[in-house]
Amino acid sequence: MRADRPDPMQHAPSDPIARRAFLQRMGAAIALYGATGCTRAPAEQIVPYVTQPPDVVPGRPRMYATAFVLDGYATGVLVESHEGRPTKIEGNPEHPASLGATSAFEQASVLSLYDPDRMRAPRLNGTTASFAQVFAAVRRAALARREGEGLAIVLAPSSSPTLARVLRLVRERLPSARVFFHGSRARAAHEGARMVRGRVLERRHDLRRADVVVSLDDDFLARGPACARLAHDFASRRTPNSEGGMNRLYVFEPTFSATGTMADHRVRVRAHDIAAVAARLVREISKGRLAVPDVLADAAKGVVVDALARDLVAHRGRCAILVGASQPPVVHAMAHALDELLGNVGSTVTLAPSPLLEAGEPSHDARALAAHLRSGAVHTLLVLGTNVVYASPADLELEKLVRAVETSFYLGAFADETADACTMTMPEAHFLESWGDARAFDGTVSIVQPLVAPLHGARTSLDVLSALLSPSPQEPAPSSHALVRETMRVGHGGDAGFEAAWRRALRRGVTDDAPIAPVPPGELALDRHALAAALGAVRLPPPGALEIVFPTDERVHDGRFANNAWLLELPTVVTKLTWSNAATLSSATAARLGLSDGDEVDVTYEGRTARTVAHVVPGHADDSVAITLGWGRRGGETNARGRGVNAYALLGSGEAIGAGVTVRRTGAARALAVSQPNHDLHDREHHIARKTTLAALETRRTEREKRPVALPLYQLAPADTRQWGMAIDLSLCTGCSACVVACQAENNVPTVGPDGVAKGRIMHWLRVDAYVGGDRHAPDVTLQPMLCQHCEKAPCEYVCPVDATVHSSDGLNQMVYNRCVGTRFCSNNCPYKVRRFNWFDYHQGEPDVVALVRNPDVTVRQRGVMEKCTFCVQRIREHEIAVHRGDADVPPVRTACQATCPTGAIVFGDLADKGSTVARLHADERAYGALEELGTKPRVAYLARTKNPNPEIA
Amino acid sequence: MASLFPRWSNSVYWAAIAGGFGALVCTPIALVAWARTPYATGRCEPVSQPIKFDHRHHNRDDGIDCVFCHSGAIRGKTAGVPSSAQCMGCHSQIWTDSPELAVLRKSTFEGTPLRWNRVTRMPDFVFFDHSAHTSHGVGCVSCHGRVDQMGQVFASEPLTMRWCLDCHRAPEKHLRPRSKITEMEYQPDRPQEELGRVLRAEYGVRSLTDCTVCHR
Amino acid sequence: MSAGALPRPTRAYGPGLDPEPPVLRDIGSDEAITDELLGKVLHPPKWLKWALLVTAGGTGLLLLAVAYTLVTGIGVWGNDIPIAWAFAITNFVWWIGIGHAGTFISAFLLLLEQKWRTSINRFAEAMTLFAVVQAGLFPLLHMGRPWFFYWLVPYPSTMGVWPQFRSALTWDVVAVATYLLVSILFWYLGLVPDLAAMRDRAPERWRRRVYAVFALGWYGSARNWSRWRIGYGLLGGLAAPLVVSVHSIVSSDFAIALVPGWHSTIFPPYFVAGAIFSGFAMVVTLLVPARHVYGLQHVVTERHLDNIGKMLLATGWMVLWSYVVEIWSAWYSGDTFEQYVYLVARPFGPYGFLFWTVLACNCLAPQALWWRRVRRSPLVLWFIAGAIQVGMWTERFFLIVTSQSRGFLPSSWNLYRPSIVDVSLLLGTLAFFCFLFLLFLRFVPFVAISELKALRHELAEEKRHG
Repeated sequence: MRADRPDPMQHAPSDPIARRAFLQRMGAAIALYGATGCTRAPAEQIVPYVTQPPDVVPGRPRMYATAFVLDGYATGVLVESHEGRPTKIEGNPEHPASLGATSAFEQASVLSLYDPDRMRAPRLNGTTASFAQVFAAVRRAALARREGEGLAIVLAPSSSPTLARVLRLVRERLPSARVFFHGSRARAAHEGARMVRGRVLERRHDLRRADVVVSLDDDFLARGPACARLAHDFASRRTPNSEGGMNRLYVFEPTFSATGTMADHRVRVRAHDIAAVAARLVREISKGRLAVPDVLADAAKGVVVDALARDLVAHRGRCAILVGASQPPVVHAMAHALDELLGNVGSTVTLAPSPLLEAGEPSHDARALAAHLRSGAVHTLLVLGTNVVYASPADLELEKLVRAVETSFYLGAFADETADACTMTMPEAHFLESWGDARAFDGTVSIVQPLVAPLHGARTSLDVLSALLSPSPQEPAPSSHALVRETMRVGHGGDAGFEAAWRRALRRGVTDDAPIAPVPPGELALDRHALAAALGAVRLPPPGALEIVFPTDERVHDGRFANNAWLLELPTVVTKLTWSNAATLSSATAARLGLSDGDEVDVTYEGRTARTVAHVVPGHADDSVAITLGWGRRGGETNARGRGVNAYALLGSGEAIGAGVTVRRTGAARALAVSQPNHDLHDREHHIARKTTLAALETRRTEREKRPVALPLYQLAPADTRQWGMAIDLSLCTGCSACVVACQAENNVPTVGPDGVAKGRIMHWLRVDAYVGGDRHAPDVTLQPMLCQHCEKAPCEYVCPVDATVHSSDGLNQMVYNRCVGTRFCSNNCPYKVRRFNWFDYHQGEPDVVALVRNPDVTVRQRGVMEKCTFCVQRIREHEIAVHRGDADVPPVRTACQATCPTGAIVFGDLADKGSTVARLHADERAYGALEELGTKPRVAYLARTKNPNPEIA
Repeated sequence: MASLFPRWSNSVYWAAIAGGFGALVCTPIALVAWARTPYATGRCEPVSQPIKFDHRHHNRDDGIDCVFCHSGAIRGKTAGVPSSAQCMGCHSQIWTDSPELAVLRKSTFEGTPLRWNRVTRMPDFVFFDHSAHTSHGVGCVSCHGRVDQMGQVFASEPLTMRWCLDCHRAPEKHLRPRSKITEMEYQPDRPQEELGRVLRAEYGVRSLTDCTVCHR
Repeated sequence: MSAGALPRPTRAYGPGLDPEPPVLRDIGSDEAITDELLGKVLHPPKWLKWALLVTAGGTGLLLLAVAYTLVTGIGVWGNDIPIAWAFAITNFVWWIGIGHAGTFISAFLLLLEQKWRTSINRFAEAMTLFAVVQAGLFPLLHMGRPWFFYWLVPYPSTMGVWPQFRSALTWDVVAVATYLLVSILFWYLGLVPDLAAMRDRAPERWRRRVYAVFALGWYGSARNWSRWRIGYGLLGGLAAPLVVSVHSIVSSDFAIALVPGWHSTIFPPYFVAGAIFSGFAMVVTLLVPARHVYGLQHVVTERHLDNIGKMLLATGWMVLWSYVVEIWSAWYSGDTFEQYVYLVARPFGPYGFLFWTVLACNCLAPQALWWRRVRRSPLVLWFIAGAIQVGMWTERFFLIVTSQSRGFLPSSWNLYRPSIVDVSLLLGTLAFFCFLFLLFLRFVPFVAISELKALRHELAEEKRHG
C-alpha cells in the first residue's frame, strides 16, 4: 500500500520530473509487460510480533476515542487504528460537539499526521540538535532571570484544564513571565458580551427549538466550534415532516457560505451593513424601547429585513440569531439585545462562561503581544503551537519583533514562517500523538489520547511548560500523560474510583464531569446605555464604497491546514475553486471595476498591497471584496508554499472587515483550478436536481405525480439477499463537504494537484455539485452530492469489453480494478460522470511515511484503471463476515460519507427490508432518481430540496 | 535463364509455410497450457525459512493443533505466524539449547521479530479472510494441503482465480463440520454430497461469486 | 495481335469534354507495358529516397510519442472526464474509414466487373493496408493498461472469465483483425504474378532471388492463372462484406452508448458512407501526384478521375443526408439532451466552428463535382479531395468530442484541449502512412500489370466484335 500525499506537479506532462523519470519508468513499464500474464506474485515476508498484545487480532482495526482541537474548542472523535496505525477518523456519538459527525477538518487531520514535510528534529541556532539539548537551552534562557523576567509565552487559544493548571504553576514559579494566547476567533463575541452583559459570556444555541433562525454573516452550519452540533440540531427541524414543523432560515452575508445555500431568504449585504440590519431589527422589534440611531437602522434596505422582524416577533422565544465571528462587538451586543427582546434566553439561547482560558482577557489581544515585544522587555520568547509570525495582522510586524528577540523558541509541526524567525525549534506532536485534554463548546471535557508514538519524537506544549517547572534539569519533568492524569485525579477528588473513571473517560471520549452550567436567566441583565453608546459610535462606509473582508478559509482555516492535500483539493461550496484562494467579488462589482473572472489584480488596503486573482462568485455582495486567510504561505511546507495570496499581509490589527480598499487589474490573467466549470442547469432541474417549497408540497404532491412509471420490463427479479441503496435529502445538504474528505480518506482516493483539477481529472468519488439558479441579483444554489448511483440497469456495465464492471447479487455496481484495461467506455456511457480514471500512477514515488495513511482494506489503484464509489463495499463485506462469523452486536453498515454527515442528509441501508429508513425514504413523496427517465434505475434516491420561504416575501 | 534456387528450396518453402501456420496455432495453446503448470503458479515449491521448522514434527508427531499457533485463522483475516514469545512458551522448556533455535532465542531476548517467508501468496487486490472460511467449515487442508507431511512447507494448490471460483461456486464439495476443520486425516462419515448439502444449509453458506467478495 | 486493334485516342473533343474517355490509352504491346511499368519500379526517381527519409523522420516522431504514452500513461494526452475519448479514437475511426475505398474498389468493383478498376486497384489496396495498420495502432495505445490487450481476445484464462460480448469493443478487435488479414491476402495474391514479372526483369541476381521468394514460384502456366483467378475471386467475395461490416461495428462503439449525440440507429450506414467518402478522397490524394510523377496518364485516364469524382459526389450526398436525418431526428425526438447537443452545442457551442468547417468541407466542396470539367481536372479534384480529408477527420473528432463535452449532467460539462503528444500521434501516423506508401512505390509494381494486359486484350476483343 502506498500513500496519498500528492505531488501534483509530478504528473503534469508539462513538468520536468515526468520527463526525467521517463527512462526509469520505461524500465518499469517494460518490466511490467514481462511481469504480467503468467508470472508469479513477488516474494513476501511475514513478520510476526515478538510478543503479541493480548487483544490485537492482526487485520482487524480497533477504534479509540480522542479529541480534535480547533481554536481551543474540542470535537470528540473515534479513530480507526490498524495495528497501531491511525487511518480514519469518525465522529464520537457521545461527544456534544460531534454526535457522531465531524467537519472536513477532522476527516483530513489524519493525513497531516503522515505529512512528510513535518519537522523531523529540533534545531538550535540553525543546526540540528537533540531534544535534551534544546530543552536544556530553553530552561536556561527561560529561567535565566529570577521570577521569569523578560520571559514571554505565546500559546494557541486553549480550553485545556491541564494547561490551566500548569499555567497556574508556571505563574507561581515565574510571576513576572507574560502569557499570551494568539489567534483567538471569539474575541468580538466576548467583547460584545462584556459590552452589554458586563462579563464574558458565550451564546449557546439550541436550534432544535428554533422555528426561525437568522444568520448575520455566520456560517454556523459548516464552520465554528459547534458546527457539527448546530448542523445536526438545525437539520432536525429542516424536513417537511420533521416534528415541530420545518424551520425557516434567513441569512445576511457578504460571501456565499454553505449556510447561505440553505437559506430560505438570503440577502447579500456588505459585512459592514450587517450592523445596519441588526440595528433595524432591534429598532423594529424593540418598538423604541431601545435607542437606535435612525441613520444606522435606515441604512438597511429591503423588504426582507422588515418581514423578518415581524417573523421573529411572531416566533418570540422560538427563534435564534447567530452572529459571525468576524462581525464587530456591537453586532454581537445587538444579538444579546435581540435575545432579550424576543425572550429567547433560556429557550433557544443560553449564556455561559467561555471554556477558553482567559477568554476576553488582554492576553488574547495580538496588539498587546506586539506592544510587549516592541517594549524590548522580552529576552526569551516561547511560541508554543501557533504560527504567530504568519497568522497575524501585517501592521503588527510580528516577524520583525520576533526576530529581534534574543532567544526565541518555537514548538511547531512544520518548519514554517515562525520556525524561520526563531532561534530554537522543536517538532510539535500531532493530536494523534499527544496526551492532553480540552473542552467542547459547552465545556464538556475530553481526554486527548495518543493513537501512535510520535513519529519524529515530537512534543506537546504541555511537555515544554512541564520542562520549565521541573526544579532541575537532572530531574525528569512530569510527562503530559502524568499531567493530564493528575488534573483529572484532582478534579475527581482523590483516588477513590479514579482509575475506573479514567478508563471510562478514555473509552467514551468524554469525562464524567458536567459541562459548564449556563447562567440562570434571572442573573442576566442588559446594559442598554452601553449598547446605545456603541450604536451611536457605529460609522458605516457610504453606500457604494468598496469594503474588504478576511474570512477564515473553509479549507485551510487560518493556514494551519495549508499543507494538507485533501483540503487543498477540496472544492469551495459554490464556485468549486481548489488549490488557491482569490479576491472574490460580485459580477456587478467586477463590472464596475472593469474586471472579469481570472484577471490578476493588485488589492491595496491601508497602504499594503497584495497581488491575487479576481474571482466572480454568484450571490456575492456588491461593493465587497473577500480574500480568505491562510494562503500564500512561504514556510517549508511543499504543498502550501506559494499557493494563493496571503491575506494577513493586508489584514490590519483593527476590525476584521475594512473599508477604503482599491482593486486594480494588472493586465495579466491567471487560470484558477475549478472542478466544476459550469453551474447552469439548462432547464434540467426536474431531471437532475429538483426543488420545491413546503407550501407547494402541502398543496399538491408534485414530485410524486411526475415520477415516470417503471415498465414491468425493467423490474428486477426479487432478490434473496440484501439490496443496498442510498437516499440523499437535498434539503439537508449544506455543502460542508466533510463527506468528500471522508470518502477520500476511507477509499485511498488520490489527489491530482491544481493542473489535474484544471484538466478535469479530479478523482473524488463523491462530489457536491452546485447549480446556481434563480434571479441574478438573489441567486439560489442547489447542492447535490453526486456519487455512483449503482444503477440496477447500469449503462457502464454492458459496454465494458472485459467485464471489469458488473452487478453484484446485492445490487452493487462493482468495479474490479484488477480486471480493468482502461478503455474508458464505461465513463463515456455513465450519465452521471462519476467514474474516475487513473491517468497516471498517482501514487508513484511518494515517501514511505505517507503510505501509512492508506486504508489496508481498499486496493490502491494502479495507473490506467477506472475507479468510482463502491458504497464502501469493504465495510459491507466486513460486516457480512462478522455477522456470519457469529460476532456479538455487529453494528449496521454505514458508508464513510453517511457516517460523517452532520445533518444526516445521507442514509444508507437495505432496500429489501421495507422497514429500513432508506426504504422509507425511497418511498418518500419527495424522492426521485436523477435522470431516472433514462431507465437506469438508480439505487440512490434524492429527496427534492425543500425550502420554507416566508409567504409574506414573494 | 539459370534457376535462382536449387530444387530442394521448394521443400524448404513448404516446410516454412507449414511451420509458420503451426506456430500460429500452437503458441497460444502452449501459453494457455503453461499458465496452468506449477512453473507458472509456483506451487509445489518448498520455501526455505530462517528456522528449519518442521510441521511434520509439531503437527503430526506432537499433535499440536493448527490454530494453537495460527490463531488468526479462526478470528482474523490472516492466519498469522506465532510470536517469538509463543514459540518460547514451549522452547523455554524443551530444546532450550538447540542451535537450531538460536535465531528464535535471539529474537525473543533482543526483541527483533523473526522474518518468515510467505508460502501462500495472494495478490494485493485479493482480500482473503480466514475467519470467513473456517467459520463456515472449510478445512485447512482444502487450501494448504497436507502440511503435516511437509518438511519445508509449499503451496499445494495453484491459487488461480479459477481454482477459487470452483469452490465458491460449489462450496458443498469442500465443507466439513466446524469441529473438524484442522483435522489432517479427516474423512466424511457419510457421502460428501449429502454432508455438504446439510452443512451448507446449517452454516448458511452462500455461493459467493460477486467480484467484491474478494476484490475491493 | 497487333497494336492496330487498339482504340485510337479521340481528339475531336479535347480531353476535358470527351464523353467517354477510354479506360486505357495507347499502351503498346504486352512487353512494352511490362517494360514500361516495371521500369518505373526498377529505376525509381531521384526524389524518392529523400521523400522516404523525411517520412521516416515523421515515423520516428510517432515512435517517440507512442513510447512516451506507454511509459508515462494516457495522462500525457489531453483527455479528461468527461472527454475520455478524443484524438486517439478519432484517428482510429478516420484511418479505418480510409481503408474502405480500397476494399470497395478492389472487391466490389471486381465483382461488378468494372473495367476502370484495373488501373487503380493496386494503389487502393496498398492504401487500405497501410491505413488499417495506422488504425490498428490506436485501440491498443488508447487502453489504460495496453499490456492486458489479450483480455479482449476470447481464450480459456486461469481466471475463469471471458470477454464481455455485449460490448462493441470486443467486436472491434475481431472486425479490425479480420479486415487487416483479408486486406493483406487480397493485396498479396493480386501481386503475385507481377512479382514474378519483377523476378524475371530485375537486373541483379539478388533482387531476382528476393522477388522470387515472394513470387511463390509463379511461372504463369494456364494452371497458375486459373487457380489464381479462382482464389482472387473468392477473396474478392470475402472482402466485399467487410466494406459494410467493419465500419458498422466501429460505428456501434458509439451507437450502443446512450450518450446524447451517439445514441442513434443511423450510425452504421452513416459511418460506412463516410468511410468510402474519405477513402476515395485519399485515393485521389495519392493517385493524382503519382499519376503525374510517373506519367501514368495513359493508364489512369480522365475516365478514372471522372468515375472517382462521381463516387465522391454520391457518397458525399449520403453523408450530407445522414447529417440532416441525425439533426432532424434529434429535434423530432423531443429529448432535451439530444436536442441540446444537436441544435445548440454542436452548431453554436464552443466547438461550433468545427461544425461549420465540416459542412464546408464535406457538403459544400464536393458540389463542384457536378461539373465534368472539374471531375476531370486532376488539380481541382486533388484540392477537393484534400478538403474532404480534413472535413471527414474533423467530423469524426467533433462527433466524438462534442457529445461527451455536453452530456446529461451540466455539472460535468468540460472541454478538451489536445496535448502535444496527441498532435504528434496524428502527424506521426500520417508520416508513417506516407512512408509505407513510398516504400510500396519503390519496391512493388504499383499498377496491376498482368490484369492490365488482360484488360487490354479484353478491350481489343470488344473492339473486334464491334
